[in-house]
Amino acid sequence: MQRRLRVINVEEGFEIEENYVPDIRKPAYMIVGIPDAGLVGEIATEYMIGKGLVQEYGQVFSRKYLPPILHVDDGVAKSPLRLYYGKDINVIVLHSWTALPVNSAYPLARFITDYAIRYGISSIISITGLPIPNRLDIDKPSAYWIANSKDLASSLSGLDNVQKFGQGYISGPYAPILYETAKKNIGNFAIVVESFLDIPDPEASAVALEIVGKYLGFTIDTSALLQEAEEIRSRIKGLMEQTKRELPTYSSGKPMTYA
Amino acid sequence: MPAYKDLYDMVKKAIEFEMREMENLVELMSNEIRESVERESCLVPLYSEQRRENELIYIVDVPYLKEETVYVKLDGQNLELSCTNSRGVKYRLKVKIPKELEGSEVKVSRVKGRITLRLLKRETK
Repeated sequence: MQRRLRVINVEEGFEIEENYVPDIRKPAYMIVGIPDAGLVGEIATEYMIGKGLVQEYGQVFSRKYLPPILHVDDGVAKSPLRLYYGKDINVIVLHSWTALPVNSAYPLARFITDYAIRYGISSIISITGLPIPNRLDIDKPSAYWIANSKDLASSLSGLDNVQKFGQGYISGPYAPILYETAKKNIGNFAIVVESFLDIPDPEASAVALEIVGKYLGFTIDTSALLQEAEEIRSRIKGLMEQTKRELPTYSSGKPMTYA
Repeated sequence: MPAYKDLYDMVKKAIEFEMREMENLVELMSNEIRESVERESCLVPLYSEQRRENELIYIVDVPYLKEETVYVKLDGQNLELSCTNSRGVKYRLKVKIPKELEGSEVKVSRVKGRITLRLLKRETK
């Protein structure tokens, strides 16, 4: 397999290394999993990677916007922000193995938008948590959608098991993606599932994955995710701690630097 | 100071007293060192704090928890939880609770694999 480095200049400060160019069919989708509330999106995309639904094909580097952390995978140091593609399900996944500082949120959103344009992505799907105080009292968390356009909103209103997020706020890494994609006419919606804020919530991720599977027309068996919930919570404790430190900066908008 | 008929007795008693003091001090320091080493070897679990009108709830995430090892102590404003999981990992959480919850009853339960510590504000008459 040919390994090459492509520098994408559309958003200054990011470089992509792709092992191959995915053979994407239309309509194509991109799922974004970045650590934030309850690690709902991160757990969901990590599960897709772990179950072999998508395979790694690229890494995203940024000296300017990413912390000086590399993710070691099977003995090899790689960027914590990586790209995966599932040929059967025709989906690109952008997954972050580390929490991202708040000052990377807007540039990363512009990068994601430009990358989606480059590959002719029809819609970007973000997965995140909706922290609620009574999360422990709920058997199955409810899910909502937030769209970046009226057209997309009307197409989502027919979906089962997911309701419109009527009024409220969205902050963190997924908020600027909604804005930047809308400016460039790329569809983007966030699936928001009731969750814990600062404790990993694999059960909420399972709900999100079921909705994604239904929307994209493939089946994801989330029973293993629920069975492995305890192992997942044990494994990603460090990531949750790192994310917990970033969460307050997402809503205050204060710049964040890594020590 | 008691009276002694013999100087030797007096000196002996004084030395014995000093030795007991030293032994107590050594024991105290050993305990502190042991506790400190234990604290260092414990992980701080992930937890979430929820403040409601009349109660404060801590949800503590300890995967593979051995329920019988959960120990909770409220000493003034210091709430301490310690436990061990089935893989032998020790956890210890120390948090400072608000003054008005001092002396509250702590209700401990396990819900969906997480430990909940519920502190109810006492009603003032």
